[in-house]
Amino acid sequence: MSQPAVLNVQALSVVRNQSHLIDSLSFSLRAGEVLALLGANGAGKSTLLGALANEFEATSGVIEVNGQPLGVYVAESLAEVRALNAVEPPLAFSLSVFDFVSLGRPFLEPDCEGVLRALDECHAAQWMNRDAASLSSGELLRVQIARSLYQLGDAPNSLWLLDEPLAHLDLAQRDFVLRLLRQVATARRWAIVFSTHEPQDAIAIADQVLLLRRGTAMAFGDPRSVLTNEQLSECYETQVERML
Amino acid sequence: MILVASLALLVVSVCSLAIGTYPIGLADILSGNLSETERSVLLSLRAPRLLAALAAGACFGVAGAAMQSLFRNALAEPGLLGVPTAAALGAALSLVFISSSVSFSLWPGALIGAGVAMFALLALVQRQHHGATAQLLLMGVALNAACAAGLALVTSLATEAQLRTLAFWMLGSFSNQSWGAVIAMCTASLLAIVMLFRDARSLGALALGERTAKTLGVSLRGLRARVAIACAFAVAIVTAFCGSIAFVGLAGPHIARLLVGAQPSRVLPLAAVIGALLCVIADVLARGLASPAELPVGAITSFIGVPILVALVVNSARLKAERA
Repeated sequence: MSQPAVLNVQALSVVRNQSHLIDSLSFSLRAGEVLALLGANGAGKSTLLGALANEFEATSGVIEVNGQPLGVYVAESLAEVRALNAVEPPLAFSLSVFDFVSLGRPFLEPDCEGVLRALDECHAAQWMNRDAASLSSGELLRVQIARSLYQLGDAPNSLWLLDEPLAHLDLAQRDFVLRLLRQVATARRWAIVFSTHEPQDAIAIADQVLLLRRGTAMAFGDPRSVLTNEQLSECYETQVERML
Repeated sequence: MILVASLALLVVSVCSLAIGTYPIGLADILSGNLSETERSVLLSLRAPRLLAALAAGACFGVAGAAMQSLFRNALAEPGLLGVPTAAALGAALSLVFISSSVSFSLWPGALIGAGVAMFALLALVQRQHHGATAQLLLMGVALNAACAAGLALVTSLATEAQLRTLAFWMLGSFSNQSWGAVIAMCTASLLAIVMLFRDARSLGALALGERTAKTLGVSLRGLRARVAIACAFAVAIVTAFCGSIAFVGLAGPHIARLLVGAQPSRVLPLAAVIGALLCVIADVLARGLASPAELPVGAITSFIGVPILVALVVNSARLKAERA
């Protein structure tokens, strides 16, 4: 399929205090594709996701979403095509799960049907009236995912970024979230980027893997060819032996 | 809920016009059947007083709600940015060093003090960048401390009479307001309310954390600046004329939140109404409890606000224990 890329990154560099957090990184992602980011702690996964989310300006290079450089977007219109799930601070005041999800589009009147549909997709509709602060971390993650689904709606060619969405999840929850990501990418034609520490997650659902080492791309490509014992051993600087 | 609260406010307001050292029949007020004395008491004493209480309460209530959302902290309140303390310092300075006449030195001094504090904050807000809400909070605390220290120095130089005047002003009162002051307060409060209502949705997104709010399209720098300006401006004007009205800015938003949940688009309007309600009730009590003497309104709002705050803290601690 040759369709234009949802996400296009060219020679991206992020330099802070003279250290290269991201060093001339280039890759692209098409609609319906899932990209898994792997790399040791401090390799630059979160920095890359932050740059892709336009949380800060990259030092050099180009990031394009649907053919337009990130800097061209107004914050509000970027929020319609790009969502980010990252660690959030605890809520200061209690908020119902319904209100929590409806904040995905903070400037619009809550669309009850849309919120319910998003919650339903995450099998979380039964918590609708619960206090979001009382959810367990696994439950909260599903509600946060529902919020991103509501934020982006059904628009194709959206970019969804997730920073270690699978940390702290038990096996069943993990499986559920992985399948949901895969299904959303295929059904809605979204490009999804998620970071993880578990190569198995990438093999399960990713179309592409980006192996990061000290801010540079050690390898980029399909999971089975990138995630070899040799590459992983080099990336994590430890002997990795696993069965593929 | 907002309708019920507004109705209660209306009833309490009309009653407050009737209650006082010189009682006026409720039926007479509603029908407009008033004697010359009654009319003059209403127009020159009670009405300005009522409007001052309404404006002050609404302003403190809505400012408190907005600041609690902005700082994501249940303890935030309008005094946090140091504006009321700066107003007190200004008032003390002009009272001690410029003129001992209350009407000439108190409110202009307070206004100038509050204005200087506001512009200092504004300069800071414009210079700050990423993750600066904590900085804004710390600067407010520092400003508060500096002004309190200055106030201590100035009061040590004041005469007995000056001290007494200053103490009474600082405790807060809605009495003896000129129509000019009332109009200024109402305008400032309305402006702040309109400004803060417009940002209610952005403040709502902030509940999810600054980072998430930003990715949802909220411009944090602009939001911080607008909320700080609106709150400081209205609080400065109200404090200059009425002194510091304690706890309304803390209790009002919390009561509102208990009633309608934490979404700022619902909390802000209700916090304004409840703040106004608290102030009008406190004012009625201030002139009714020890009539014909008058009690300081700031002390009464504290008396109402403190039990509410304590109940709230105990209650939320219990909820947390249940959750764990």
